[in-house]
Amino acid sequence: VKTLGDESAVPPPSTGLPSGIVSDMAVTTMIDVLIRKLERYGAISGPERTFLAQAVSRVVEYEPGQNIVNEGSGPAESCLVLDGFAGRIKLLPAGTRQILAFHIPGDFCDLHSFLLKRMDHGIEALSRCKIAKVPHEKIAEITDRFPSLTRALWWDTALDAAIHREWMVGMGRRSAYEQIAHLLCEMLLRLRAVGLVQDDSFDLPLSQEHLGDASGLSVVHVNRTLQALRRGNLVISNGRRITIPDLQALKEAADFDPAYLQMKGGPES
Amino acid sequence: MPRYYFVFHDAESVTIDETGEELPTIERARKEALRAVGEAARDFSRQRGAGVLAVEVRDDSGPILRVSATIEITALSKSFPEEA
Repeated sequence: VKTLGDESAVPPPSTGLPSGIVSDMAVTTMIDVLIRKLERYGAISGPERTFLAQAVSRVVEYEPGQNIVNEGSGPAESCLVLDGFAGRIKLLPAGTRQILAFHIPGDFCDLHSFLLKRMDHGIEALSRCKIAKVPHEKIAEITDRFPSLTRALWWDTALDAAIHREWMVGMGRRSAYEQIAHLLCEMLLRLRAVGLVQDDSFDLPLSQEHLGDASGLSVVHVNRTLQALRRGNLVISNGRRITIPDLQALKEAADFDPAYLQMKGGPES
Repeated sequence: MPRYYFVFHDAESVTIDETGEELPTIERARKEALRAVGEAARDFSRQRGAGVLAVEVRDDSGPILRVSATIEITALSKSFPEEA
C-alpha cells in the first residue's frame, strides 16, 4: 500500500482506550470529541451531554479494510468515530469503488441510517478505527426529549451534505492539483477542529489509493499530483504525517473557501 | 503480485515513481496507465494548448510499455491566430 509520503508508514499510536463495554466515565471523555464538534452549532447542555454518553451501547475496534456497516443492510444503530478514519464507500460492479466521505473522530458516519433504514453505501475502516455504537432507539429518544440536541445532530448531517457538495465540485470542475490541495486543506481544518493538528502537522492514515478512490483519480495521477505539491513546498509528507508549511499558499492553490465547513468563529477560521 | 512503476512524462518534466504499485496483471497496469494519461490530458487542456503526455510502465526488469496522448490544435481558418 502506497502511503502519501516517500517513506514507509509508521505504526499508529495506541490510544490505550478499552474495547467492548466501557465505563460511563470513559465514554463521557470519549464523546468529548463529538460535543466539541456539535458546539460549533450551539451549546450542548449538561443533561444532553449525559444522555449522549449513556446512549453509547458499545465501542468496537476495527482493522483497516474491515466493514463497519454493509451496503444494503438496515442498521439498528449509528456509528460515531472515536479514533481513526472511516469512509463511506460505494462499490461498483467492475471491482472499483468510490469513497464518498472521509470520517474522522467526532463524526457520525451514518446518522442518516436512523431515517433512511437501508444503507445505499457501506462504511469501512480506512485505518484502525474505534467506533461508538448508538442504538437508533436512543436517537429516537433524543428527538423526543432534546429539541436543541436534535437540531445540533441535524446540523451535523447538513454539514456532511455540504462536504459532499464541495467534493462534487472538486470531481466535476477542479484539476487534480486543485482537488488534492483542496482535500488537504479540508482535512487540516477538520482535524484541527477536533484537536488533532499539532502546529501545521497531522496524521493522515490514508493511502494514495484512498485519495484516488475519494477524488475519482488513478493512483498514478494522485502520486504525480502529490509530487507536484511537494515540489512546490505546499505539502511535506513523511509516511502518514502531513505538514502544511503555508496554509494560505495551499488555500490559494486549491481555490479553497472554508465557509462550507461551518467552523466556529466564521468563514475565516 | 508484480510491482509496476509508472513514470510520467510531459514537455516540462519527468515524474518518477519510486514506490510503484502492486497489480495482479500487466493488463491492469495498462489500464492504470491509460487512465492516468486521460486524467492528465483533462488537466493539461486547462493549462496549455497542445503537447504530448506519456506514461511509461516499468517493472523491476525495465520498461514494458508506453501510453501517450498527443494534443494538437490545427488552425483551419486564417481568422484563427497561429499562436494563441
